[in-house]
Amino acid sequence: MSNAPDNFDSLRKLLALKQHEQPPPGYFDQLSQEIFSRLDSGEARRAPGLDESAGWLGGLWALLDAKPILAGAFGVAVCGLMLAGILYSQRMEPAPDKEVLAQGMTNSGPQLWGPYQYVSFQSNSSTSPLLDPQLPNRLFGDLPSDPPRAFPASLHPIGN
Amino acid sequence: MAKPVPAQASPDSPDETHRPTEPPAPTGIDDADLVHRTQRGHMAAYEELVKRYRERIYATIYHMTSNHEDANDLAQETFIKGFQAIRTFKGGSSFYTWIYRIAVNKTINFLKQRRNRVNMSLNDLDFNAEHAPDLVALISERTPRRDLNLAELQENLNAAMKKLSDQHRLVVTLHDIQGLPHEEIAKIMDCNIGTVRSRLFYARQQLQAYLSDYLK
Repeated sequence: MSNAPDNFDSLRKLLALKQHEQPPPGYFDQLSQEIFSRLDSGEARRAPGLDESAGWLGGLWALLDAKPILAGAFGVAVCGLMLAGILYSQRMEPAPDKEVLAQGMTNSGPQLWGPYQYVSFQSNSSTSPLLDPQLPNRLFGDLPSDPPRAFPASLHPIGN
Repeated sequence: MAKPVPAQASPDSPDETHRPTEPPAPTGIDDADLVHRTQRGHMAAYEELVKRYRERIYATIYHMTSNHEDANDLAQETFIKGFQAIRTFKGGSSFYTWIYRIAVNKTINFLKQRRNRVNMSLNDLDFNAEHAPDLVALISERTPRRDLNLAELQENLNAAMKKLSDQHRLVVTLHDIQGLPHEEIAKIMDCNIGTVRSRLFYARQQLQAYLSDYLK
């Protein structure tokens, strides 16, 4: 007998062995019974559209279940998105510096006249600095350390 | 090792699944008529279709999975899916090809999910296989291992089949075990005949290499 690679007679005879793998007698009647009992129990009335609409999640799950690498990549992607979202939200909404705010409230009160950039319009040169270092950096100058006292107002004219 | 489900009905007993309110569909009518009747709601017509193809569908799935329980579940799901989708069947192909395609797709999807999970379990051969002339000649005359028993041969044969890809195993199953022509297999697998032929040739080469001890 030839053993040429394209001579598959022996192989086909060997594969014929599998034709003898049969379920027990009567199995196919039982199979029909099970199929139609399931159909009678309502599986036939399950709307295909419902299956398809609910199936995308099931399909995704089946895909992830079938390919662990894909499931791992999906998990990494979800974690990356979550991390990026957290970092982005921290950048866009910086937390107020509670320590500085508290200090300003206790020592000098709310700084309504806080530092500002004083622009001098007297300089015409574009190369000269706009900021005048001699000018105070507060709108109304430095507050006097001993502010004027307030006296009670009198409705009577002076001298009376 | 998975054992086949014990039989509860005799093979010669009449089919007990006839609807009590419907007469059984006549066995002489062709598939297209049965499909039309099923589309109009006649359950008995679908019973006749199931009866016609259940053995071939089961056998195909079984040879792909090598597990009776899996084949049983998938065969049931195939026919249930077929019934649910029968209204969408336009007759572009034969019912036979259509239901085969459902079975093949379900089986391939199942195998993808099952991969890396369990080993194949093998069913026992039926007793008559031991007396098949081809097998007797193959085992006692051509095989160098004359003490080989059928169970061992079956185990090695299934192990070799398992090494094939799903698509190659499917082609071997449909052609060399089920006896389907290339054209029908091409329709079922939705590919051209050349692809079927090349897959079959490659699969046979692979099997021949795996089973070289038994083929000398």
